[in-house]
Amino acid sequence: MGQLLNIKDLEVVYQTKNIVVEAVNGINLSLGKKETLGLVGETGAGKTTMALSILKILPERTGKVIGGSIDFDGLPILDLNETEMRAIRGARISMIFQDPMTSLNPTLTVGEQVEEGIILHDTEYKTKVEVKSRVDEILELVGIEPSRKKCYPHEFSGGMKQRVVIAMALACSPEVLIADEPTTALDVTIQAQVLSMMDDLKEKLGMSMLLITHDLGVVAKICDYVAVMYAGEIIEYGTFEDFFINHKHHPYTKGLFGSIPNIRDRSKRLNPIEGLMPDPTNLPMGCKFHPRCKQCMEICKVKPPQIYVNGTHRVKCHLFEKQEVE
Amino acid sequence: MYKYVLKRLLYILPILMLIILIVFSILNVTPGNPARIMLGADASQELVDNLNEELGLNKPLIQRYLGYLAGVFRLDFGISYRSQAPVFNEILGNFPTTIRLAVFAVLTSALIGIPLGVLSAVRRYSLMDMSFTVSALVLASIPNFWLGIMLMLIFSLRLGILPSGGIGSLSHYILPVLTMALPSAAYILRMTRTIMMETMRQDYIRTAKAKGASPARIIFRHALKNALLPVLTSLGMNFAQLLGGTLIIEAVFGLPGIGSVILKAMQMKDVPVIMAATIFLAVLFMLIMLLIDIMYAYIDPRIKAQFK
Ligand SMILES: Nc1ncnc2c1ncn2[C@@H]1O[C@H](COP(=O)(O)OP(=O)(O)O)[C@@H](O)[C@H]1O
Ligand SMILES: [Mg+2]
Repeated sequence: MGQLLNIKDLEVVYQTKNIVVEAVNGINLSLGKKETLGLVGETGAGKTTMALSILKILPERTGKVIGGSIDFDGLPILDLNETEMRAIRGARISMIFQDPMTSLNPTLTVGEQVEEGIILHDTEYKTKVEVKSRVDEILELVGIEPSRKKCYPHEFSGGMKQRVVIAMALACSPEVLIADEPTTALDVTIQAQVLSMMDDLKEKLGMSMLLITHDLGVVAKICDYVAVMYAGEIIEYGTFEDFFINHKHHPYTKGLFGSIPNIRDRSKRLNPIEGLMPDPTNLPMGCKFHPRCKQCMEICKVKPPQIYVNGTHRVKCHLFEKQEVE
Repeated sequence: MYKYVLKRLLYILPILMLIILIVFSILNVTPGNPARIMLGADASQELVDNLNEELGLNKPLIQRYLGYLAGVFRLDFGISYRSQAPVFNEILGNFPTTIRLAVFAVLTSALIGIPLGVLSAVRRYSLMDMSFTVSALVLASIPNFWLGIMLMLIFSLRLGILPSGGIGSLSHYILPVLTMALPSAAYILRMTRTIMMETMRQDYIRTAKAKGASPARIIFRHALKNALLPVLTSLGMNFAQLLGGTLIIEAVFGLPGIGSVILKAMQMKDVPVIMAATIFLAVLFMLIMLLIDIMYAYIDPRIKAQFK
């Protein structure tokens, strides 16, 4: 796999006065050129934290990467300084946040916010006229009348705002787009529109995309690879086919996806699973899923599972280790 | 926008009438008869009664109130009991000093408080931030008149570089303005710090960061404008306090402003002067509030849109 983005053994914690939240606990992931990787998992699994780590915009003071490495096109992200990171943010790696209602600055016009990235970075658009025409072009691309760039965010609907956010992220033609639940805050009717637009744009612009989502329909439709995250770990990873055809799944994945054959069923949401995510300040021993697992064995309570690999498919569960031995 | 300003100006009228009514009633129930005060304790009851008659003080309250209101709209605030001169002229002569004092004080406190508050927020928990916090706490908790006297002791009596009282040149304003501005600067600093920190936690700041904006750009272009709105409101509130504060400060520094007029008038129970001074202050306050609301609309497009 010729990879553009490689995350190795990433560990991230949030440290406040006397508690340590273990948000990301040793993640390995990679994203190839023009690939789409879907990242799914319950709220609190650490998806956003991982995304923020890639851009190094974790909350100052509290959020800390305590281990691992992130490699982007040969650049060791975690070793870069702020100036070097600023040249990457918005230019080579862009991010779309969950809530378009709060992601836009209420006191700046939409045009001002879209052009900011272009002005800040060393792009091919140098003169004012070039920047202006680029803003028009990119707004048109996301389906917004360029004449509306003088408007303020409050004059836009939620769906339109998210289009503006997408335009902002695409303005400098980044190589990687990280979309953190880009449609969760939108009306169901608009979700599909925005997503298919993103998929089109991704193809058109030849970007790689890390798509964090709750929507299995979306995963089925536009993701090349899927990673399932639980308590800061990737517990299953594979191509879409691996999830669909293969029968060896992590019990959490099974619970999450319900009956796997139904994965084609569009707009299907993640199934709720009995029990709660473990407290990230006090994670369980052994497999982090064992307190909720219906197939829990003695070993699960004491020993963290190894990763079972079968081609592109990877599952982190004791069930399959045992099968291998047999 | 013009409509809005006009509407707000019209709102001032009923509020003003209410204020006048309140002051009027309060002054009426306080003990002490103006005619008796003017004529002295030895004057005969007959003389006092005559004067009361002449001043119209024995008419019913409501009638006097209405008569007074009618006068106010013709800028006729009656005759001072003390100097027998028209109150309007007396107030007008003393008003500029107070306005200058209050406006300088507000500007000074904003110019000190806002930048230092932003600095404090940006470098939060640093040594600088903590020293600002401590100084602000000290400044906010010492009484105004004491600060005035201390400044006077140091700068006029000890160092002899600034005049200790009276008016004449601009340098006469420095100590009184500082006395008023320092505590409110402390307050505005703390306010700005809190609001700025809150603003820096907003999602759109993270968006700006993700775009590759530098810290300076994030502060000045993305955060400041948003943070300034609530700061402006607290500036307005502060102005009200400052206006009240001029009463004491003018006395400490011997400045002939509205405050000293009110003080003198209160000792004499010079009702027309107290009334007029109160009305002037109320109008001034309402105009300032209007100004702040207009500035608000200019900064925040969401509010501006409401008045289109
Ligand atoms: N700023 C923060 N301070 C402390 N804990 C945080 C902070 N942000 C997130 N967390 C915690 O880190 C864990 C992972 O959160 P997050 O990455 O937002 O998960 P997800 O995006 O998958 O919902 C959660 O337990 C969350 O409570
Ligand atoms: Mg999240």
